[in-house]
Amino acid sequence: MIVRKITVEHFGRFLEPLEVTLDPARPNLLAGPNGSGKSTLLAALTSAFTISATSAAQEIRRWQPWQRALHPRVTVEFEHGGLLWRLRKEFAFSQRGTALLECFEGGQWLPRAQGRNVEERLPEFLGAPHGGPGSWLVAGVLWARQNGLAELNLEQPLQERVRASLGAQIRSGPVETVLRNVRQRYNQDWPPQGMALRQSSPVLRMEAEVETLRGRVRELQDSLAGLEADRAKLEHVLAEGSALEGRKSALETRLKELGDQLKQKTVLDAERLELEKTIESARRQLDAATTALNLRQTITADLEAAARTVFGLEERLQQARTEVKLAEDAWIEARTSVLAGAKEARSQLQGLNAPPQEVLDKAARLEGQLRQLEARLEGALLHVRLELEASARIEVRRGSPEGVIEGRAGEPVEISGSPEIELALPGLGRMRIWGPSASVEQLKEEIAQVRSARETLLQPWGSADLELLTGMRRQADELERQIESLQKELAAHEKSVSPEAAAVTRCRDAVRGLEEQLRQAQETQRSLQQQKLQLDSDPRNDAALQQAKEEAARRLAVAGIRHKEVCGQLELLPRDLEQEKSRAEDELVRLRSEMEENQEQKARLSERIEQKQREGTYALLVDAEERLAAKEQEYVSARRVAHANRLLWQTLDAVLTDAERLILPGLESRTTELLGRVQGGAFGGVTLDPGTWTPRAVHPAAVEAPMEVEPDRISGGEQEQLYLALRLALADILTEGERQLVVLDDVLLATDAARLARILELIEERRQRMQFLILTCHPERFSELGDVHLIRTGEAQAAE
Amino acid sequence: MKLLHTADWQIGMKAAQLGAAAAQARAARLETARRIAELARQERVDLAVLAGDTFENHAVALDDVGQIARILAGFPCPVVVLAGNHDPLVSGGVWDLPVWRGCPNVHIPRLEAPLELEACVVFPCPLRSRWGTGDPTGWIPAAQYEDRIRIGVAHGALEGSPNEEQTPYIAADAPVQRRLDYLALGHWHSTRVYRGPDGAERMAYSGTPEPTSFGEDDSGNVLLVEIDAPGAAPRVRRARVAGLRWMREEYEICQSGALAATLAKLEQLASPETVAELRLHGALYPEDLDTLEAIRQLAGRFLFLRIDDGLRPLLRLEDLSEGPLREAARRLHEMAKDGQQAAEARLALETLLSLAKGAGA
Repeated sequence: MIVRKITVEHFGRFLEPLEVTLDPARPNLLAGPNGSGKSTLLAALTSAFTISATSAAQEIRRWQPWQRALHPRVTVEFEHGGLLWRLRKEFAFSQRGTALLECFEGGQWLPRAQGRNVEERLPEFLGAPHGGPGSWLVAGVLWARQNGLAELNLEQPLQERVRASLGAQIRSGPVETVLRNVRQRYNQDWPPQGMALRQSSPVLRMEAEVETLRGRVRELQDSLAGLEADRAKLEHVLAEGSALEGRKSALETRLKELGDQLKQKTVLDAERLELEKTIESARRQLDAATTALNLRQTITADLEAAARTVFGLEERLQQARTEVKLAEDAWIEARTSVLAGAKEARSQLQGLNAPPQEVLDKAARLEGQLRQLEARLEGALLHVRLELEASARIEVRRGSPEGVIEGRAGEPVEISGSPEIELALPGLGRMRIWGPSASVEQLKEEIAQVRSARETLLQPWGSADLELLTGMRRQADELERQIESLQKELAAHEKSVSPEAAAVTRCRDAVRGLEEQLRQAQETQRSLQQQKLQLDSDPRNDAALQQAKEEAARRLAVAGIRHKEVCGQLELLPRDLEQEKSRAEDELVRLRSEMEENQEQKARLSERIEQKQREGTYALLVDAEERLAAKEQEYVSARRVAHANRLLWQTLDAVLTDAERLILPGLESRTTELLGRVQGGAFGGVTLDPGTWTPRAVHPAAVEAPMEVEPDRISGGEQEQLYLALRLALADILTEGERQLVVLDDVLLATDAARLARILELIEERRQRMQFLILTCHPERFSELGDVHLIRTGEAQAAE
Repeated sequence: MKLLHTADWQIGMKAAQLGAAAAQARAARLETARRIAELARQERVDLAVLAGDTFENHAVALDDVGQIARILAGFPCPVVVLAGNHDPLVSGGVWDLPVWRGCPNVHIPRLEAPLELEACVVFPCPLRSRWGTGDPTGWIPAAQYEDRIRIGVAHGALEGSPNEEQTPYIAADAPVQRRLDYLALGHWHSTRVYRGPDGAERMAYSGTPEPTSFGEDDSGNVLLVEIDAPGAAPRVRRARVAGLRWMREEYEICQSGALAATLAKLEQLASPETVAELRLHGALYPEDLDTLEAIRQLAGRFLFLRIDDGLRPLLRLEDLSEGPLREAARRLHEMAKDGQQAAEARLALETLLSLAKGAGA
């Protein structure tokens, strides 16, 4: 951007319109004393491009004329992109602020944007085509405000702008053509995300087509496999059908055989039954004839033997009955003896009158109680034992025995009493003996009660002698056991388990046995007698009977042989012919059903195979596989090209990025070179911060060893020169594509004359590429600049 | 008698390697079948045998089966068509189709039983599955029809040979063992004639009459066999019937401009009946880029042309001016030497050189 004219009104100290015209070709020197409005003019220019007309921020409010409700106005005419533009702004500190952008075309100013649209377009004139953060990039670098040479804010957007600027140089010419072509190829094959874009990629589209074809091939392969499986099934079904046919045929043959066998069996069974009847009849006739012949020979002897047997049995029966009588008598006698013994024992028991055991037990308890009481009584009495040396009369006044006791020498006298004993001993006096008192009377009374109870208890048994009574009790017990034994013996007799009763039973059984034998013998005798009667009534003689016997035997033999033959034939036939035939018939029904099912299955499979055969499944598969192969080949080829294009793009991009990465060292190198020239000799170098691109250190050339000096440690003049060199280096880069305005607002105040002269040389060298606007209150310092456009504030409107 | 021996028509076969030309290659096989019928007429043969694999699969298009049936019905003699491992005798298979009922001269043996014909007795050995279990000629009785010419027809690999498809093995001395005057074999696609101990050629593979892939050796023939009498030595003659020419060309490019000779050779070979595979090795010189493109353009004049481009673009840095393009070319050239991306890098470099040339870099 090259500024042609700046007009300000109501801006800071400029109440009236002030117009400053800049020379696009020559350096512009805006000179004036302090407070003449040089910096205000620069602020107006900056505000026009960087502050919205509707802004109410302090940064614009500060330029409202003091205590006046006026709106600052700025108009800037400038060149950009080969056209002449005019920007007009009125800052109303509200939405009423106005902005207008015009372009000079066809001899007149034509509006190009208004209001917000103007604000949106302004960044492009400052080197940021799309606006946004850092949008006054170029101005930020190239317009150095008073005391602000070091206020260089090289943030990322500016760095990008510088990179882009240098990159644009790297990418220019044939490189650009190739790069555009490669990018186009790359974007075509590898479009950004998004379905529509992805579908536009031939490779991705082909990939989808390949996948679709693969699906179709898989489907047809499955269909073909299904066809093969159906064929295999059909083979199996046909084989099964043949097997079923074979089984059916075999079964039908078997059924016919079974029918024949059944008929044969029926005939044989009938013959067998007939033969069995014949055999029975012949056997009866044979037996009858044989019996008759035998009987005729033996019947008399048999009758006699039978009579003997009957007689003998009758005798033995008589004897047995006698034995029964004897046994019964023995039983009665034994029973009577037992009864008598029991009666005697009961009589003795009664006569004994022995007390029962519980009486004896109770009496024994009373006896024990009595002895206990007597011992206690003994313990409660006072005792005196007198052993007299001579006989004496002792009067016991109190004690026991009470009264007078004639004592003899050598015989001790014992006296007891309670609670005291009082004795009168003639010639000696009275003696009173006392001691601990006890209830002797009570004890005596208890003893009397116990004795009375014992007497009452034993009185019915005729004796109080417990030992005697115990002996009687033992006797009674013995008698009771004897009675019990006899009663058991009697019961055995009653229940017929005694030896005598058993003998009776045995004899009676013998009688019954003999009676049965006799009955049978009598029966046999009667039978023989009857036979004898029959034989006597048969008119045939023995010869006739013998002939009948032989005839019956012959018939029996013939029928027997045939019967054996028939049975043999029947034996050869299966036993369960009917069941087998029934089973075979059922099996045949099942087989026919299976065969029908087999036929249906065969028809189904044949139809399915025919259908697939008609479809030409293999031909379809071949076609699909071929199309797939062709598409895959196409896809592989396209993918290879796409990958190659991507690799080409990536490689080119990497090469360019690497080249652009060298920009910082390049900037350092340019700055170093410019600073070296300003300082008039070899200079070690400048190191820029990789993040902010601001000077981090300078390297003096004079020192032998590498040395780094921080910028704030060098002199103020050197600092000015360092930052100026950096700004010029950046300006060199940023003005590659478009001439730009470079503003220096009293920035070289600390620079000595020699270095200033060298700086002026640098400015001189750049006048073709940059428009310089130098604001100064010491215009004489720039006298070495030839052919400048000098503007003095106060005469700006007419300056030339 | 005169016998026409052919096999492995493989009608309906897949030719995925030929891409869009596959259908034409399949159609060519039908045309070849017609030529064989014409040859049979010209040669006045007494019998034609098709020793298996007439069809690639049972489920080929019915129209193809119909055309083959009509072609076989048009033979001037009896035709014995044997079921091979690709079209074995299975239920519901191609041989069960009603179309064969209209071909009275076509015999499709379904049993291992002698087939008495006017000129000879044929002993067919049909296959019933894709995989064999024993020598299919094993059933042929050595002592029957001794006064007649005995022709065996079988399909499978010869004993002692590679057998990837696991077809049945046929005894190498089958003609001697079975006392056959001639054993017509199918399965191998190359023509092979075998001499017996007596020096007579009594066993042969006719090979496929139409090649099926690149590198097939001596295919594209049928055999014409003349036998004067039982026991007489057959006279075997091969007749070329193939319609398509399959060829593989391989060139090593070692100097600039050499690719032009390849282009010239290919221009001579180019025809709609030629299926070709071109393998290029060596260097791709920048000045040959246009020739390579011309070779690629030549594909339309072949039935099918596959170019296996193994050329490595030759980089001459001096051809590019100093700057990013030369640096990118140098990096791609390094990558093209080896590694996973070598092929891509070669193509990328070729593209870069081409674009740079176009941009005047």
